[in-house]
Amino acid sequence: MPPMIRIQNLRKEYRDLVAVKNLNLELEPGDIFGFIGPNGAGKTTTIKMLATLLTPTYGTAYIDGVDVVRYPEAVRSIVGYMPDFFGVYDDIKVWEYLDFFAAAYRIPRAKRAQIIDDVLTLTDLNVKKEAYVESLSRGMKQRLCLAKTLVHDPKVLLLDEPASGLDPRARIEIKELLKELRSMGKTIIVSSHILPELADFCNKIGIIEKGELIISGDVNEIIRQVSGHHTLEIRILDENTPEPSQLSIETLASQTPQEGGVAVKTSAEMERAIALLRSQPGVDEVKRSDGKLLAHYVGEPNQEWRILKALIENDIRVLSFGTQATDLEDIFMRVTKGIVS
Amino acid sequence: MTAMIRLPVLKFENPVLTKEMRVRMRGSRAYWVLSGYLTFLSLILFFNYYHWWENALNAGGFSSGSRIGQEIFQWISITQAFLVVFITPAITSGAITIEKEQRTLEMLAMTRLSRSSIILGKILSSVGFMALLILSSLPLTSICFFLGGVSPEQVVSSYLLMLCGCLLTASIGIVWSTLSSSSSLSIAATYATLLIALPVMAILVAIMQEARIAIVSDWMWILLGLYGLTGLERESSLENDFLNVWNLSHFYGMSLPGWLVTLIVYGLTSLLLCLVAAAHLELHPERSAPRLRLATLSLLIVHCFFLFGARFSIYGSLAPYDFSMYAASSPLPVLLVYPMLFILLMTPVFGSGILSRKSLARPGRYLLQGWTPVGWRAGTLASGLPFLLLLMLLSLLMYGGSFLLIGQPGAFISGAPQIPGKPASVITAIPHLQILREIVFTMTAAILGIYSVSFTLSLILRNRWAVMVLMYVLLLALLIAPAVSYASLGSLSGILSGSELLIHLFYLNPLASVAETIFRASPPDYKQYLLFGSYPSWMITTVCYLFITGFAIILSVAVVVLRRKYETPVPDMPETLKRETL
Repeated sequence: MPPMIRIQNLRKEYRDLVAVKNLNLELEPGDIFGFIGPNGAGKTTTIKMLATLLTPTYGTAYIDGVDVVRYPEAVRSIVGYMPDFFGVYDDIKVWEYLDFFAAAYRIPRAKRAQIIDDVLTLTDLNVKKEAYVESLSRGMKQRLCLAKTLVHDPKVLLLDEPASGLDPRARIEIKELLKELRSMGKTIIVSSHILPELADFCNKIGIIEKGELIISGDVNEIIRQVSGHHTLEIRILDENTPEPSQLSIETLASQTPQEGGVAVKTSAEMERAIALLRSQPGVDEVKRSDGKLLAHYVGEPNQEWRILKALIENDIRVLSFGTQATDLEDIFMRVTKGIVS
Repeated sequence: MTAMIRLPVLKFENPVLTKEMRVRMRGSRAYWVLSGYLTFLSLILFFNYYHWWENALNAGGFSSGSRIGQEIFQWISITQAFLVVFITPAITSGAITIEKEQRTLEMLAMTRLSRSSIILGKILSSVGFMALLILSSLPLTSICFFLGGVSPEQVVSSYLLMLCGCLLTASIGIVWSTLSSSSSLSIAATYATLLIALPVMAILVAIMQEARIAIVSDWMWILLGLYGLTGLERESSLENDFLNVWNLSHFYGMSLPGWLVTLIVYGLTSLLLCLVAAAHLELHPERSAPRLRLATLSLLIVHCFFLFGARFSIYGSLAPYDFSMYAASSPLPVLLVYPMLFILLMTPVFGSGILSRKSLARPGRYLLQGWTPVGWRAGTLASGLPFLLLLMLLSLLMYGGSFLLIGQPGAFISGAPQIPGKPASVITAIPHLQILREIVFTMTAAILGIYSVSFTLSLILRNRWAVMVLMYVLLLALLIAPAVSYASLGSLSGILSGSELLIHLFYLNPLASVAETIFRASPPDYKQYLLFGSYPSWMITTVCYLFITGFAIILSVAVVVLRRKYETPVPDMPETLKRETL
């Protein structure tokens, strides 16, 4: 399958500043690409170049095989672009707003009413059809803008910070909407400077900093690539009343007074677990934080089970064993470390 | 049945227009404007009538109604025209900037709407609203019908003129709107254009009249739109003023009413300004540059065509009035003063710009590229000079072509075409070709000089707007200062030593030199105050500008060399890419 988006050596220079440095990227149809980077890293510039709103200094990009520099008009009708800051017109109703954009995309008058209803349903704004745009809440305006982006049924969506400045509820609504769009088979580039926002629905990510795409590719791939560095989260049984039958002779022997026994005993098991973890290949650091053990794993990928096996073989009562959920953020911090000043 | 009713015309749809019209009449604002407008006009009408009534009482009797009818009509037309000129910019100069401020322009740019349809929608909606205002005054104007004294043609044409004036100011507003970043800036710039353009043009007109370039100054009054109004009063009195808006009847031999010519010139000028605005909306400069140049070129062609046509109409067919006196006193090359002024005023626009590092890396190649199609398409600063020279060549060609249009190509040598029905001796032959040659020398040197100064400033300041403002101040000072100084020499204040020096700026005023060349038979009075007054001015002007050009070139080279020495290049471009881009 030909790539839906192909970016080749894309570069944008302003007078004394290189905003985007020779970016290369390929996305398949149906990809959801999370474009992550701190503010001012070049996300918006890149997206605007893809949206034909800025001319690259050098290089180009192809969207559905169409050159964005040479045929901007053709690109505009297959791309839906939602800017990071956008406005709405005053004194205009929701349906009029959508009708305006539908007309601007040269959708025949007869089809417009149906399309407007469809996008309103999709964005859950049906009840607001007759309301004035300025009366909508921020989250609703954001959804309306997304609805506007969808009127011409674009194959590719370029969403610049779609969830910025929204309250948690509106943020979740936008996320749900994006998942819906993913299921419709659209190729989406969505940028954000907040990572967890993207983590759960992107299948590819790219991290940009100072105009350079530091890392890009499949989410899991990247996790694996950098996953020399991920953190194992291990909880072991840490209760106040131990069951004697399960205690081994060595631990019993090391107990002296009955009162403080529990704390000392569990601490011992914990100590033992820590010691054991430290001796495992691939673990370079073990920390203890509120009842959990955090082991920093730098070993071979997919070999974490060996650690679990070792723990169990040594009679450590493991309650849960897993990798930490916010890995993407971790990667981000690691990858962009020190470059931002 | 419905299929039959559906006309192709109804399929035309401009979404911007639809939206603007929907929004425009919402809320109470539109009604307040309308009420205010009508109240103001009614008051004017009332005072006018009251004044007449009192006068009539004092005179001890009532005159016929037709006189007051005429008076009321004049007052209403003039008031309305001024209201239109000052209300329209308030609507259009915010049209595009509001989209920028609301952050909606990008979204609009992403749609399939063409740039020109956005401009068209914006212009039509505001002109439509103004048309509503203007037409709503018809009941007031119709009082004149009862009183008499006003012809239906006058009413129709004055309303059409008003609409066209509205279109022109609307398009000036929209051009500023596409250029500015905020509404307040755009509104200020538009009103400033109107307010500065009027007095400045008026001063230029006065100077030109002084310099006996009357026909050009008359033409400029037409451009100012004031002529259309003053023409109301002039209607009966000035029969031999052949450029009078109301009387012009011959045009390259065609019969056209004067107001129609004004209408056409206004309409075409507005259209071309709209094209300029649309080109400015274009996000890619390499797309807008050719269009902007085409619009400028067309503007010059339109203006030259109508200006030359008005003058050449004398020779086209049997003229209703005796123009032989006029033709004898004002030689034909005078017509060229207007295109030359136009080109001089365009020089800062095409002579300023931003020079990229890439072009500065190889300046020779960059400058040469300006003369090739590649440079023209990109609209580089280097291609500004050939473009300006092309404008000059074009106006000369149109001038020459006019001799063909009246069927007397042979008269190009003598510069004195024959007036039908008059003996050939009425108009004295002039050294036409020599005059044209001198005009070309002077203007080429002047364009070269002003362009190179502007180029050097662009290089130093690296801010196009600053360069343009500076250049316009300089240019207007050059055009006006010597005349002011000359005028003050005649009076007591002329003893002030400064004006004696300032008067030498006449040598830097190419138009003054051109005028002197044209009216070579009688040298202007100010020559006696000038150093080297015995030499023809055009020679000194040419030498001065060549000297200025040389100085500017040396300065530019110095700046480029110094920059290269002390500035580090952008380091991030990889070597392989660098080779490809250059």
